[in-house]
Amino acid sequence: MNILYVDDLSVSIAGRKLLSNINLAVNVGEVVCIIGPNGAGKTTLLRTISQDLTPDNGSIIFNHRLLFEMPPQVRARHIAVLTQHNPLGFAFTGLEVVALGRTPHSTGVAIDTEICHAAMAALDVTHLTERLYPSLSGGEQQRIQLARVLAQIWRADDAQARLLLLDEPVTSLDIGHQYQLMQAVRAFAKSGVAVVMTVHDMTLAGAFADRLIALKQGACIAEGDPQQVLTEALINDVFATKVTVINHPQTGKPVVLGANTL
Amino acid sequence: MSQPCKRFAPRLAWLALLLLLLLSFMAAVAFGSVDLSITQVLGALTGQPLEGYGAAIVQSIRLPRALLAAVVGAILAISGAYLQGLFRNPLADPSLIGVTAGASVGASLAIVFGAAGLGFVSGLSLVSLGAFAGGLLAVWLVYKVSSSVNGTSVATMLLMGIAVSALAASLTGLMDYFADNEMLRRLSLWRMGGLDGADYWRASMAAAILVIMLLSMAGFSRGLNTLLLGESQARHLGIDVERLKTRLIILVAAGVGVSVAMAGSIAFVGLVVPHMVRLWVGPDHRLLLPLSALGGASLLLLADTAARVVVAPTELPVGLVTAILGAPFFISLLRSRRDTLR
Repeated sequence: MNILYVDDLSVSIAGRKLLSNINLAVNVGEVVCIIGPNGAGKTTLLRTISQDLTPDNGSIIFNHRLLFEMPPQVRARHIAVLTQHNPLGFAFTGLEVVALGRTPHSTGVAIDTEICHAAMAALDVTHLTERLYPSLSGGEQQRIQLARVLAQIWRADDAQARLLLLDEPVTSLDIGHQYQLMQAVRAFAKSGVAVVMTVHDMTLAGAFADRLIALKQGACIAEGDPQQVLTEALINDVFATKVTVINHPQTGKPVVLGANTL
Repeated sequence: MSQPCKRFAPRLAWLALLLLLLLSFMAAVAFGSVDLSITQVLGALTGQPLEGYGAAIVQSIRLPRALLAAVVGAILAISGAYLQGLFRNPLADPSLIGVTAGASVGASLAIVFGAAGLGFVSGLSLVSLGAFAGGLLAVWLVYKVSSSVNGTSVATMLLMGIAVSALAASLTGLMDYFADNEMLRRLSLWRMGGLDGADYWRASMAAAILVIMLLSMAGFSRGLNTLLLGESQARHLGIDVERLKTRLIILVAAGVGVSVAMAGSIAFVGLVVPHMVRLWVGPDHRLLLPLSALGGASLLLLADTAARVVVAPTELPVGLVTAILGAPFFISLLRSRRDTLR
């Protein structure tokens, strides 16, 4: 069942065309990764879906409704967004930041606290419950913020149709936590959530995504499962570089190796 | 930097601040150029006849003054907390970013052009309205210039405060230049007036605004908490950010406006009190706002008591006392945050 339809979407800011004629359909339980070089429009696409930007034309349909017609508070119960930058200088504890994710719901403190602890456990940040957010490292802050976003749409009881939008969630994470985070997102998708995310690391995207979308200069130039999209020819074209793609010895998924400069 | 946070239990903080407010209120009524005992104060407050002028001193001088000080202190502290949430920045304060100066200009304009022909109460209302308009213009201007998607730049915010204050000073100067004798006299009378002009009318007009602020507080807390995460983050959590910001700006202008009209410019209360409360109980607005109100009321009561006692039988302007406390506090805040200033 498709939960999100993006139809012929075009976006421009200050006269510059950032996205042209994007089409996208996302299923419940599916993880879609958007890849592409810097400035290709990955973040613009996510920000348009999350209603931070208004498209020139095209429509976004979520759960059989035009997204911009949904009132903000209703939307917040269905759609959670992790933006790229999350500056927060005030001394909330880790748990308090995660609990802010429950703002759109009125499910009561007991249920909210339970959900927050579950979301924090999923992202391995339980030990940061009592720590002050500004004193955490960049990676720890990132995982707390993701726990907040997961807590926002944690239960199917609060909203059946759920969509998770993540903009570069693994930046500033070490390799162990990168995989752990992607696994948590994967498991979260399986619980009945559609996920659209941007990722820089193509190997990581290939390992965890059901489908990849490659953007170049605001246009979608390839879409399909990782094996179809992560080919040397396509990556060399999109990123204007020379890469080697091999298959992972254990999983068989594509692994992208950088240009050989020797 | 990995210490677990040490905070006061909320109930303890409530209790401590309520007690502090009670004690500082008693002190404000008891101390002054004539010191009264606790039994005398309690007697006067409950309307029993006292020997000498005790009852008159309490009922017609000290009680309205203490009430006004408490109300204005609470308003300023809440306004400070609102501004800091709005700017996502703990260094915002009505006096530092020029809201107080803007309100003063508005009040002066009202005095020069309107309030003369009116009676006492409607004159006061007009002055408050002028101060509200001036404060609204100032806070809106500073917010427009200094805020962006990534929060507010401290530097731009403080520089805008300087610019707005300078503009306000020049407008006030112009008014002095063009005013005739009668108006000059009224202007300077108003400027000299601080809490010493307190009466029940002023106290109740300020209290009306305080009641509005207190009633609106609960509705703002959740929105303000999410706003600290960032504007688009708050929007993604279902908050109508534009409406929240508009209401905050109007409330702050009303609060600062009425406090400037009734008690003159009093600096730093809005900076010091929310900051201390945040250190105790954390930044959650559901606690921060009511506790700041209690703390602000106590601080201004104590400052005013000090202002009346140290040079008795005359007195210092209370704004002087809060500035002596607040300016070093602000400097130390700046120093401790200089690495993180953007």
